[in-house]
This record gives sequence, structure tokens and C-alpha cells, in this order.
Amino acid sequence: MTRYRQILAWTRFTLSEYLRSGRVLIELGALIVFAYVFLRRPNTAAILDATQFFSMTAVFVLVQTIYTSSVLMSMGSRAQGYVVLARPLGRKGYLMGLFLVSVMIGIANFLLCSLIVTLINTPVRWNFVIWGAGTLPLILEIGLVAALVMLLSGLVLTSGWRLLVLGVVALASLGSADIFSKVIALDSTFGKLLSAIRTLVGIPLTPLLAGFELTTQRIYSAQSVAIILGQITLLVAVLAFSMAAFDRRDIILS
Amino acid sequence: MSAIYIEGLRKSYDMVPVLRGLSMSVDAGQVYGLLGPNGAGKSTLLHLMMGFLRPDAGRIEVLGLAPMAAHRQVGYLPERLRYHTHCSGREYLRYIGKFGDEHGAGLRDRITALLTLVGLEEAADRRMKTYSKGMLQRIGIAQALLSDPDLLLIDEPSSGLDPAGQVEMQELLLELRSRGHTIFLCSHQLDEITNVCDRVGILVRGELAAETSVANLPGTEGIVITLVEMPAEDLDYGLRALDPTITREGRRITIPVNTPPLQARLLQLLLDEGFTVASLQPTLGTLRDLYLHVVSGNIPPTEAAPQVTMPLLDTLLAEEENQ
Repeated sequence: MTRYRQILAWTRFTLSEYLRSGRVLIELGALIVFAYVFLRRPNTAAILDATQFFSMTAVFVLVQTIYTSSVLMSMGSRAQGYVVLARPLGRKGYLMGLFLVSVMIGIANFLLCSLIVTLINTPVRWNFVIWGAGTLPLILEIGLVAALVMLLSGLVLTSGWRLLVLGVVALASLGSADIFSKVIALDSTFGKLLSAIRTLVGIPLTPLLAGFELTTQRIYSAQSVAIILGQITLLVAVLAFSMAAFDRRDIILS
Repeated sequence: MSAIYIEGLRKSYDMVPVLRGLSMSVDAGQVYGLLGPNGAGKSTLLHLMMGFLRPDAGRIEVLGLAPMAAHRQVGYLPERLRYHTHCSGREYLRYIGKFGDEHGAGLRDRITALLTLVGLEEAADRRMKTYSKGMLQRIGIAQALLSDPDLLLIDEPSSGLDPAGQVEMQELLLELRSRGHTIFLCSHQLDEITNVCDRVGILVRGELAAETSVANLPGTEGIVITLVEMPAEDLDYGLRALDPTITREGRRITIPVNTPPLQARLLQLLLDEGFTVASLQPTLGTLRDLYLHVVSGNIPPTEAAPQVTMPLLDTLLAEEENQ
């Protein structure tokens, strides 16, 4: 319990510093522009449905989570952190607090989008069940994106490791083998090897892509449960890897 | 018991060695000052003691524990005046306390007491971004003392402060010393070290080049020999022949820059001439002298020779003054 109280205090403190610094105005500004362009009803004939709402909002919220997490990681890399790290909160608690604030701001963004769309342009057949069905995987997506940004930040990984992980993510993210075939002959030994590696490293990222699809489609089946469990597993794995890496490295804040 | 024990400590950044097999210890209750030029490895050493950095080799024990395990008993003041400044001083201290799982009325009372100690009770509810450098440094001291630590690690407390701020900081450090805290202090302020510390070490290129107690700084400059008999002026010729810098004033002979061979030749001369030596006293160099000698590579012994004191000397000097 002691450790949770310490992490909670650090999370509240970081959130309060973030809000008081005025950085949140950038998020609010972006939210207003997004709502004006994509969520308002331009004319009475234009009808928004839940799929359109979730498709647009998920992209917006996830992009904004990348921004928020990057800013928070940069705040965490400043010399102010030494005083906090000198406390019994510890390295894991420090990182967890930064992550939680990223997720909280991401969720707050999504909730505001939901509120705005409900007030100014209610989608057809809009109800709590439909909203909840898209919200659950989206919240996990926000957590995953925040965790990945944290992992790839300079605070957690050294430059060499970041390059390696980025390379793996880039390789795994290549959606089509056609891209390979234009550069490398797929039937060559090297091509086959690269393709196998791509498949292998792509497996962990599958929940991320499938989770996004589940958010927009909201069609629940046994496979959907597997996707949500996959999202949770990947989230826990990325967080654990980040904390293990941060726990072992030299901390040089500036 | 050693509050800090370091053995064979090595640390490099990108293959560039910063600490090269450093060994030292600081006793509990001691105020230890660490001097050294920029880049000597002082802040790196403090960061290793705090567990922010991992040693490449060697051993560090802080209060008998691994650095990370000792955080509850250690107060740390970082070098740079970088704090989260969007909150008030009181609020900042409350949060810092909560990161160590301190809370409730106990924490509130402690914060009030610390704000009084560092003289910030009136500014406690102002946002820290309105604080001067001196005030920020004092809030830094307050946060370091928040958990009533057994050991304080303080990095450049007077850095960036104006002369008045430096004096205030020194007074605060003296107050902490009087409260019996074990303090490890890195500083460039020689006066601060001299006035506050019991013991001083000088770190040069990652090695402890010199270490001594402040009360017994090495005689880096020379010696003063006092004779029992009043010598005739003839002796001056012999002294000048030995070394032109040697001077005599009554029964006192001064070698401004001493070396063991010169000292041996002078003593031989005095004995040959039939004089009795009442006392041989090293002239105590200042910390500045020691520091400059060590940093320039002219390293004196790590411990000063004990100062020679003789009751006869006081009698002779009193007689001389009466005459």
C-alpha cells in the first residue's frame, strides 16, 4: 500500500504541474479544432454514426497521446527529477507516475470528444453500450501508445537500444510484403529470413492493430476477447520491459 | 561506524574514466567536504552514492546499505537549482514528503518547522517560480531534511548565490552541523569548507589526491624554528648560505618554502653552532594553498604532520615580549 500511495502522490503532483504549466492548452486547442472540423454537423443532412466517430476520434486521441507522452517523458528527463528519485518512491514509481498521467490525459481527451459529440452532433443509434464497446479497447490503445512512447524515450532506453527497438517496430509495422518484394527478392534466402523475422516481431504488435480495429468496428466475439487480453498482455509486457530497462540504466537528467 | 564507505570505485562515461579506483570513508557524525576542479568527478560521486549511476567497478555503502536501499535515511540536495516551480514551497514540501510516504499532521508540523529553520515561513505559500536563487536553495535544504535523514549529501550549495546568499547558506550549514547531522558536502567555496567541515578531501582526475582534517591542514608553506638561545648576527650568514629565503627575527628562524633536505641541513647547522631548538613548527598553509598545490600536481602527504607544541616556547615568547 505504501508504494501505491507514493505513486499516487507523484501522479497527482505531475498532473498538477502539467496543468499549471499551461501545456494542456495545446491539447485543448487541438481538441477544439478537431471538434470543429470533424465532430460538428455542417448541415442538417450530414449524419454521423458511431463507426465514423470512433475512427476519427481514435486517431486524434492516439496522436495526441503520443504528443502528451513525449512531453511528459521530456519533463521526466529534467534535472528536477533528481529530488523525486532521491525519495523512497524509487525508479519504478517515478516511471509509473509519468505513464499514468499520459493515460489520464489521453482518456480525458477522449471523454471530452465523447461529450462534445453527444451535445452537438449525436451519432445515430448512440447509446451507452455502443459507446462502451468502442471505449474499452480504445482506452487500452491509449495505454499501449503511452507505454510504447515511454519505452522509446531517452529516459528509459539508451540510444543504441532505442534504435534497435525502433528498427524492430518499423520492421513489424510494414503492413505489406509488397514493400519487401520491391526491394528484396522474397524467394532469396535473405528475403525469406527477413520475412520470417518480420512475421515474428510483428506478432507482439498484433493486439495494437487489432485493438484499433475493434474500437472502430465494435463487433464482439470470442476473438474480440482474445484481442483485449492481447492488448492487456502487451501493455503489461511493455511496462515491465520499460521499468526493467529504467531500473538498470544510469540516470543522467539535464 | 562509516556513514559512507567506498572502495575501488570506478566510473566511466563513454569509455572516458571519471572515477579511477576511488577509496574513501566518512565517519558517522562527521562533516566531510569534497573539493576538486570542474570535471574532477564530484557530482558523479554523489550520483553514485544516491544510486542514480551504477559503478563500473568497486563498492559503495551508504549507512551500511546499497545506495538505493538507503534513500529513506539520506537527504539529497542537487547541484542545480532545478525544482518543480509551479507550486508553492509548502505544497512542494508536502508532495516531497508524500513521495516518502510521510503524511498527516506529522508531515505538516515538520514542514512548518523546516520552513522556519530555512527562513521561508513568510514565502511558504508563494509559487516557487517567484523565489530567488537563495530561496530555492533554502527550499532545497528543507526538502533534503524532510525525512530527518541520518546523512545529508549536498552538492554545491552556494553555486549561483550572491555573497549574501553564500553567507546565509554557510550559516544554515553550520546550523545543520550543530544538530549533529553527518554531512557530505561538495563545494568550490573554500571558506565554506574551512568553516563548516571537519575533514576535507581533494578529488583530482577521479582520484582522492589529498585528504586531511580541517583543523590540522598540512604545512605546505614552511616551518618556523624557535631557538632557546638568542643567536648572534653571524648566524645569518650561515642561514643565507643555506638558502637566501631563510629569515631570522630574534630567536625565530623561518623557512618560507620548506623541503626535508633543507630542514635537515638547517638543523645540522644549528646543532653544529651549539644552539638548542625550542620548537619546530610547521606554518599552517590555508586550504587555498593546499588546494592549489594539489590541483597543480604538487601533492603533499595525505595527512599533516602533527603540530609540535612545547610549553617552553610559550615561556620564551612571553619573556621576549616583556623585554
